[in-house]
Amino acid sequence: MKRSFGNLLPASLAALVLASFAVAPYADAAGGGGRGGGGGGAHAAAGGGARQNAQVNNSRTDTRTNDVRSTSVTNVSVDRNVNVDVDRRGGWDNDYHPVARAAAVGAAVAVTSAIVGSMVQSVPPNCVPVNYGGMVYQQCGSTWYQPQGSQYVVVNPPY
Amino acid sequence: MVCRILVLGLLAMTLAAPSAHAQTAPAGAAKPAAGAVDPAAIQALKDMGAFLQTLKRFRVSTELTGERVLADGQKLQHTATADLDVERPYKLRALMHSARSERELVYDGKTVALYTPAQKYYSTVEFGGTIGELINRLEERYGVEFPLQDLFLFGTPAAPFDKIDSAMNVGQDFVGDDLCDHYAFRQAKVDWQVWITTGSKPLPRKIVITNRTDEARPQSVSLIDWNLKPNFKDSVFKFTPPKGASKIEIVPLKTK
Repeated sequence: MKRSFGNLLPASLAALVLASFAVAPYADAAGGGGRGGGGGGAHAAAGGGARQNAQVNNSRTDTRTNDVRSTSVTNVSVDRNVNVDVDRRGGWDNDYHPVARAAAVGAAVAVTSAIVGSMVQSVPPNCVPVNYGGMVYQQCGSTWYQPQGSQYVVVNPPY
Repeated sequence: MVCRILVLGLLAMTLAAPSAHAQTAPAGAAKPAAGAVDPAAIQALKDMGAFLQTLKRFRVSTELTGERVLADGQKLQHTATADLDVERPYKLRALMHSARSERELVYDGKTVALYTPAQKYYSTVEFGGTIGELINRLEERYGVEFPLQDLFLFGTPAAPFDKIDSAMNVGQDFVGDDLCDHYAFRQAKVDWQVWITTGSKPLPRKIVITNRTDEARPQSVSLIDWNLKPNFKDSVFKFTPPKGASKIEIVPLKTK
């Protein structure tokens, strides 16, 4: 969005370095993938327990909550470099952001039959899952969905 | 009698020497200029950073309360948690959890895997570097933000404290049962506060960051728990796709 060129250049160079996505070089070693050795600290429930079994249901959420103009940030070092724009994104906790971001920017209204912010139980079969910004999306033609609990919320295209 | 004379004498001294008083008092009573940087507060950050860098193997957990600001200025709060198993400099496993998503990030020094258990999707990126370097690369290249990433940058050149415009000691405060020194800072677009445990192990127990780019000043509060003698195994740093998991593309950050 508002990133300066000074910052883009190293980012593109980094792109070269990181360019290829490795085919997973995993041997069948270790029982990774599972939960790593129990939870810690104040919220020990992270390793499992009641919370995991409770399904989140956001179908009654007021759509006004999608109209987010800004968020808190979670890292001080985010502005260690003056070229980094703090507004660009909030923090690792902003997992609802994409709905909001486009709304706040007033981006072109996506040509889609699905209303941004609306919840659906399932996505069409032609969707392609993709990770963008650390979040998983389902891209179905021009419509994008983000998983939320057991449902999906229609979001503006993240890119 | 002697007592009364003494008191009167002291009183007299106090009243008699206003100028002397004015000369010696400023250290305690005078108001430092707004925006002054207290070198001792910066030193406390440096000491904490240096101590953090000495930690090789640890678990750190955080409970975060964040805020988002709606178009009309109304603020909403949300929460998220993260657990990090760390072995410096090349290994890390992070679990991030909220009502909206659950994510894992596993790094073994060669490959970083991002996994979402609910959908059983994972993406991998080859990368060889320290955790601090990984954090920067993920952020710049993929727009992936990392929980508690400051903890890996404090005490390194990536987190210089020379951009701090104001620094002060706020006093002492408890976080949980731990007595902490509380410091407050201002820089560029954020105000922030840190609570550092007193004693020989200066660990950040709480961090509050106020985003000044919006007049509503959305704020994040992170409570931080430490385990410096963790019992996790090396295998936690190796991501093996669970049965039924499928690999999906991770798209680099697009610039608009």
